[in-house]
Amino acid sequence: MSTQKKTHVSTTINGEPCEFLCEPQQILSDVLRTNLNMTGTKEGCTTGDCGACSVILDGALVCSCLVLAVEAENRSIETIEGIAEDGKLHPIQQKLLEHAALQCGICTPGVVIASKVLLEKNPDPSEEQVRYWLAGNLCRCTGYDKIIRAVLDAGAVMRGEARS
Amino acid sequence: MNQQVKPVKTDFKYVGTRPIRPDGPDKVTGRAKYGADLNLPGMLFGHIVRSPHAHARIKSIDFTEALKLPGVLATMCADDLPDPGDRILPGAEIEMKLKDISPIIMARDKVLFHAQAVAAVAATSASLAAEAAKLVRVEYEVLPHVLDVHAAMRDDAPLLHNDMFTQGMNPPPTTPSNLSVDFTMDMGDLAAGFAEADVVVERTYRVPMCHQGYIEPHAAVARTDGNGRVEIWCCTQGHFMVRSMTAEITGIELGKIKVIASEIGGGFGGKTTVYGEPVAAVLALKSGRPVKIVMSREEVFRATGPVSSAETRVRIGAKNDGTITAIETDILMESGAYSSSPIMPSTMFAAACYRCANMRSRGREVLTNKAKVWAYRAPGAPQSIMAVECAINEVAERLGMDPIDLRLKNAVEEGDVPLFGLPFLAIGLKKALQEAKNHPHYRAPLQANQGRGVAAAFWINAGMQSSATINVAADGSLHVLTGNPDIGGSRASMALLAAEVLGIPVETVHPSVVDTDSVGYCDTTGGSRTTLATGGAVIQAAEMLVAELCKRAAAIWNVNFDDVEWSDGKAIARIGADLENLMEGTAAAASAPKVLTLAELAAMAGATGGPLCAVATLHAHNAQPAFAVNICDAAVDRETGKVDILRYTCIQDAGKAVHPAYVEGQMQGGAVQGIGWALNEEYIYNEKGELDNAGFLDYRIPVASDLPMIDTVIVEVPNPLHPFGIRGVGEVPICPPMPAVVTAVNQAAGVRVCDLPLTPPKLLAAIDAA
Amino acid sequence: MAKVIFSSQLQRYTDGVRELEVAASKYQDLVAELSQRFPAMTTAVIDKYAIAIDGVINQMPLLARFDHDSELVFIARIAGG
Repeated sequence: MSTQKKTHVSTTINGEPCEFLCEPQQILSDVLRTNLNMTGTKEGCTTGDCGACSVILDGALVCSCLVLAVEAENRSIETIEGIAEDGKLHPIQQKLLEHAALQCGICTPGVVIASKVLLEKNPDPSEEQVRYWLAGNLCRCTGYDKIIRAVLDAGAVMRGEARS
Repeated sequence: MNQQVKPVKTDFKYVGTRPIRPDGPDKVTGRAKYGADLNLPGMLFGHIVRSPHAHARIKSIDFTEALKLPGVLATMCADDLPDPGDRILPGAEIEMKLKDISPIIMARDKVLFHAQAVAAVAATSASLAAEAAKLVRVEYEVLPHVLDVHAAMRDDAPLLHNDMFTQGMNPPPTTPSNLSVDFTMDMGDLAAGFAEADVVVERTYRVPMCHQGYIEPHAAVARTDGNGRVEIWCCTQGHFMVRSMTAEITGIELGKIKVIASEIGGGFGGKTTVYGEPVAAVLALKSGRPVKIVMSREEVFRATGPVSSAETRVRIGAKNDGTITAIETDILMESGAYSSSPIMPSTMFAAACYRCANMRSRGREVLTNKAKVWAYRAPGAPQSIMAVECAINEVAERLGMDPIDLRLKNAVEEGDVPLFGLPFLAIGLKKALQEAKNHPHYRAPLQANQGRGVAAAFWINAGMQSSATINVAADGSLHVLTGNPDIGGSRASMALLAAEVLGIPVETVHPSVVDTDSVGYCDTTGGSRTTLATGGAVIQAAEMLVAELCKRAAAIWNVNFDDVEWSDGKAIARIGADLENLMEGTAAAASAPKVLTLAELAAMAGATGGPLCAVATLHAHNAQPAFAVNICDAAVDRETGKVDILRYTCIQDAGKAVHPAYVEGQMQGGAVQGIGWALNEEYIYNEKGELDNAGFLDYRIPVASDLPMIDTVIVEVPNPLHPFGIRGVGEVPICPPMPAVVTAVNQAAGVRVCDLPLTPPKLLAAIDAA
Repeated sequence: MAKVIFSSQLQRYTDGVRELEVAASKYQDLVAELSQRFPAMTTAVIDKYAIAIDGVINQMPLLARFDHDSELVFIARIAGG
């Protein structure tokens, strides 16, 4: 396996064109983190169970550990590195900080990505809807309470109902 | 010493507020660097070869085929490590024998659990290293294994260590066995206590082996320099511990090792030891290249330190008026393949919440062919407290008494002496119980198939050693340097503490966790000690700085040091205030105070004596216990056995909550770990000793949709020995949830399941049998 | 004279003696006095314990001192998580 030729991939990451060489069996999370040094996307399990590696692939929420890097060819990827725009934090990021909704922070990038997709699909979710949407993002530190509050609060900001 | 302690501070300006944590923006944007986030030029990837057998003798290890692959640049096994002999790890919290630690890094002569590390390779890519690992030929002589504590105690059980003679027995036995510890503590007259009881409850509760479940797998990158110095970057709860353990395990001189703590993605006790760090160090030395070793999730579950299971028989006697007359606990705890369990605290603290003259607690530790256990939050306490608290609830039931009232009647207070002999100073158990009783949750009505459980718990909290350095920059900003990895927001607290002493805005204080070269020794982030002890060092360093700043101001103004006070970030001299009384007419001019701000003094540092820097080190002897009370409402679906946690409230005495949001976070996180342990989490082994559920799919920790909001109430009974009244908060939260949940669920279902976790099939079987 | 209280575990080494008044006012002297009074209570046994002096636990008591009316309790070392 390791002696196979690498594959050349052309893709778009956070709005910028990006090319890389990867082994055919390499998963996207590994390429992002190792080949491209974009370590904001975390790996907690590499089997799609924890959500720490969540990215947005052509608008859909995916576990990047379940995507082969070669599948990124001609597609568009958004990672945690692209969420804050021009140095300004996204409301989800801001509210996570204000609510102290992170302790170790390892699940946080995945939570930001997953929440962003939720709030863009469903701008006014109930608590239950947020909980079920985020059921794929494991957190061992917080017990989820402050994360849910932060996401609900971010939704209010994005709807213009609350101050950011 | 009947020591005169300074009065505890009670009015605060910054402590007790909720600023955004300074490391927060980097964490929400993905900039923060964790253990596996470092990539270095020329870096190799390490892969560990693991035993396929639960118990076997290692006959030979052959790297020939693996080394034939181009790009495989180094290999190692136990031959590369010094023989541990009878060495004890110097300076460790408890006595640790190197021969119980070194084989976890690399097995020597024998493997004692499935997936134990046997060898390692380093190669130019992760996939190449994995391939090479498969080509390492290890020959084993398979031995019979044992996976159950009762089977392990039989005379005919396979023996794990032929030098294991039960500790705690006097005289010690002459035959080795798998019973590694057997000891008993007692006070009063247990028989008399039970004789005067009107009601006696006796049950046996089983708590399963589980895992701390941190989301970030262990990861380390090691590199060497031209001087033979090794630098290790790793996620850990204690980089000074990594330094000393790596030195002892590998034989590399302590002074030649530098450890840098990355951000850490959870630990909960599981990262207070080493696994891959010494391997990466040795491979880096052998190859001359940086080496990265990242555990897979499967390796984390199979081969790190899981949490001891325990079987606890509890017997409690009480009079009709609710007075507890006798408490007996008998804890049988599983340690995995090496003596490592927290049987001591489990035995000592099981009934620490209760005043009772007649107590006995027996603790036995048994070895089995499973991974060597390691610490979780409040090691040992949740397992035994689980049984005691459920039994107390059953006593309340039998007496027709409210479970909080029963606890209030018997709760320990200042002056009471528990089984482990240390009289309590001021403590917050009664206050926490009172808050629970008055909480709206406790009065909320329950519907059919719903139940409510209450539990109280104790944890002792550690002190240990810490250091802090504070540098003042020319603009008056502070750099607070400490050596405790930040697992839950402690950096924010360090900044608040320094800000409080200096009286400056917390935004001008920049806290950092620095490497082992750059700050004095710090014991691990664990034991609920960081805010107390490292925070204590920060307070001391800040106070030294204040004294130095006043000294410099006095010199600038040419007044006595005693005439200068420090307030709100300024040196103030009220010279002439006394003169007012002597010289009429001079009062107005003489009484205007002289003022110099921190920034002004900092700008003049060079001219007034040199750089402004304070260093404080301490061995904290002022840790004091924490008590917590939880209330849980649960519903059980009688058709499916599914449990819904409807409502949850945590009450805890924090002494003084430095950053209340992060104290709440500890309470909520610990509660949810306990909920998971009660309902879903357990290690499931097959008969070959292989873990069947070595992944997050089948090792099911609570997810967001499993839970309601977790309400928190922080009670503050100041720690009388600490300048700010701080008590440790990180561990006690995991002690009350299991019994609170189990009581609620059993009540909701009308059953009494005593064997955790309370999974749907188990509950259904009990419901059907009832 | 400071008072040492032995837990039931340690009473195995003191022939059942539960409390003892000691002349020592320094930890090192205490260890010497105890191992002399109870030959089974060796330094190796004592080192496995931390000592609490008037309720305050000291895990490395080499230089610890106490008063004539102090209460000393040995407590097993435990580790946090």
